[in-house]
Amino acid sequence: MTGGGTYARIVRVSVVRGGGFSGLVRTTSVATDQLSPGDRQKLAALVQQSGLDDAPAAPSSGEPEPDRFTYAVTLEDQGRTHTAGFSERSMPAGVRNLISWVSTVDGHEESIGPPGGGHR
Amino acid sequence: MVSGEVCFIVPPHILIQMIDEGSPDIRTSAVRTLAISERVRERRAVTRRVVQHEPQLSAALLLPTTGAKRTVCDVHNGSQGDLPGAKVRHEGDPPVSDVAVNQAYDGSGATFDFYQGIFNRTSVDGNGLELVSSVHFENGYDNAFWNGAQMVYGDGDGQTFKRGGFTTCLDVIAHELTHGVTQFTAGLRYRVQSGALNESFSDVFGSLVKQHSMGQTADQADWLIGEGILGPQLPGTALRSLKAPGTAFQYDNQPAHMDHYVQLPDDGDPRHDNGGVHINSGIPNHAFYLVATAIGGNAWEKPGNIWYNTLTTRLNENSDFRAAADATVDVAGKLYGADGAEQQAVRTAWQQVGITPA
Repeated sequence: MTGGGTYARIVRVSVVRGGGFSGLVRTTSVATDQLSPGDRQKLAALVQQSGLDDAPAAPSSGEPEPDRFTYAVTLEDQGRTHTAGFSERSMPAGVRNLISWVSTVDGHEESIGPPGGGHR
Repeated sequence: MVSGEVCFIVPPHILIQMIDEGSPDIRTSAVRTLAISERVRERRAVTRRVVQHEPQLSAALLLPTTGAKRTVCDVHNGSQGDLPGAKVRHEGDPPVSDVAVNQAYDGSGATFDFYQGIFNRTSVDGNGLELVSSVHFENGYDNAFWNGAQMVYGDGDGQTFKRGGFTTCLDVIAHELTHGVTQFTAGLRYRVQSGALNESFSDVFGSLVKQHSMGQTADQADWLIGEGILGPQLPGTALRSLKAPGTAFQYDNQPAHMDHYVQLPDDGDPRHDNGGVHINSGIPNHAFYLVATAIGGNAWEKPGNIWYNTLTTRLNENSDFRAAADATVDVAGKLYGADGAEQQAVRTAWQQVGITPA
């Protein structure tokens, strides 16, 4: 029993964080082929617990709030991609746990840049 | 597990309708219903509507005045549900050993005193709302924000932002608290041009609070936002510059002119910054800098007064750059004389950033 369920073939999980008072965009991701077998299982379990698949692509709740973070979490499984968006207020605990794990696990990648993507 | 939330007895859209269309008694009742709700997100959604109709009522009921200017709390690395945390320094208390607490105390006090002393505005709501600040939010949290009712400071992760940096920077503190002023006045929607104006007013008054505290005239000021808080991942001096937008640090992509306005979709994608609110704010930011340096002297005096009056009496939630330009020109004429030097400075400044006022 691995807890992987339907997410046994995850290729990559990416987290894009925007906003904050800087407006900067930070992207954090893990590719499963860079993870240890134990971490792969852990990731599959966290994805399953996050309920990500049922979450809408953009946060649905109300007006954006000044200088708060917003998130988009993308799950690449073999053959499909699903993105879900969250504000800090609307983020379920399971998604928060997933993001926190992805940001700290050995083998994760991280980049930071301006909003809009253009580097001068 | 989702934490327990108390549900509205009356759904938010009905409350909004009551506030919009109801008699004063019905509005009062709607506000009271809102006041006992603990669903902060929904309170916020309704609060803007309330404050436009009943500013003093709503401030009194939603965020009761305590008579004190400020309090600082330590949330001990807790998150949203733990705010505000334990009170660690009340108004008038001596400094404590935690430097972040003292900096938040001093910064919120300086901002309170600025609005009181310069514009005769008592706190961000104009009605004496106690400024509550919580420090040590979450772990290595890379942000500081006004959550609609109070200030929240993370410690910074030491990589993107310096550890402990946010509370060191008075313009950052005043920037965030000015989001509170905007919330209680123009209510500029945090999207596209109205959102960029919301950001710009926060940068302008953030910088003015700092200039006032340092006793600097427009030509002496650095006009920077977030100077000294950048960690090793962000090479540069500061986050933004009103004097020279686009030059503050490596990823500063702010334009200073409409020719370089950055069109981004307002689609909720975190890469798009609600339609570029932190990017295009460079344009009105630079307009203010040009006004301040053209008029000369202390920027918080005539230039600040024109911008303050515009924010608090002329703009609404959908105002765009052109509306702000027209309003500042009009306000400058009303305050300091039609076709006077001040009004000419304002008109010329907007033209220099590519906006021709009416």
